[in-house]
Amino acid sequence: MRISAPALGGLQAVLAGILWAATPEEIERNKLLYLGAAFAITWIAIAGYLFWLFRRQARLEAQIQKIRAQDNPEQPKLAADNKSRG
Amino acid sequence: MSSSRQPLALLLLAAAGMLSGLGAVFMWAPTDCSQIINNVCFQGTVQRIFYIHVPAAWIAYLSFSLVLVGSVAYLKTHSDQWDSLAHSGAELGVVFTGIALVTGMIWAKPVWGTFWQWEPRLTLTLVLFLIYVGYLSFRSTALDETRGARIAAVIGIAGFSAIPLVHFSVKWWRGQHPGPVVVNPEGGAALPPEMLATLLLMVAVFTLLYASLLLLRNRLGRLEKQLRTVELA
Repeated sequence: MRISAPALGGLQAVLAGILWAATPEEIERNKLLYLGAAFAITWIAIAGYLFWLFRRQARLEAQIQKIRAQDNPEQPKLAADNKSRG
Repeated sequence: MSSSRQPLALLLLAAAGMLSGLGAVFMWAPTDCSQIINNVCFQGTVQRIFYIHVPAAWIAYLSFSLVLVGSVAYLKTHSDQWDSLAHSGAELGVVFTGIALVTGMIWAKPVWGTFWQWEPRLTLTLVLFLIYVGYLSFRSTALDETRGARIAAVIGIAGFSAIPLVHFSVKWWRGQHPGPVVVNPEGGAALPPEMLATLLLMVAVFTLLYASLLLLRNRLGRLEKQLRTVELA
């Protein structure tokens, strides 16, 4: 799931490359640069936000588990036992 | 489907939709040639920025509308769920308003010859962006959580008044920003059918992406609340 944004970025880079190669005039090539920059910034912003969301979620979950483990020291041991029993 | 997998499934759907949307943007939608100068299409391929700029602006409107709904409901019910919705809406609204502003500036450079003009639509969009950046800054610094949420709700409601100003600024004041292109004032579409269909597809895909991000952000809000409860216990 997390590779979807880079995959989209890669696809865009390929499409931009094809458009670039097929565009001989300098003015049109400059327009392609602006177009590429706009799309790239959009995906970087969305992918960056998604990355921040997942990282923050992982940190919060770890913090909650740590506090619960401190409050109840037997809990992680029980969880580990249960896991090893399958 | 479990509620924890819903946002990821939506995100996957949005990614698939985005692939077809990009195909339509780059391979199906015609290059704009409505103005020809020195035998060259004036906007040409740079007009394709429109397919991310307009959906981003639409999502910003949608997001700040959710802030309004969440804030009003929070003031009425004092339910944390509404407050969390408003907070998530403001955060995503700022992200998408930022995207709309930056993509608009990049389009403006080759078309207007400058990245920025202090004209009504651009200036009011910047004001809208700053209002909700202020909202988020206030939320992150408020010491009393309940009081902070109440004041943030008032800011969220007041901030929404900028939306109609932003939207109708192209009609009410003379400026450089293009007027409505999806629907003519006389009625009927102002865009060629392929461009209109591509735009509507991108709007649908951005809405799907937004729904998944909103669900993920709301889950984060629940975790933050859970952490505070665990810390107090």
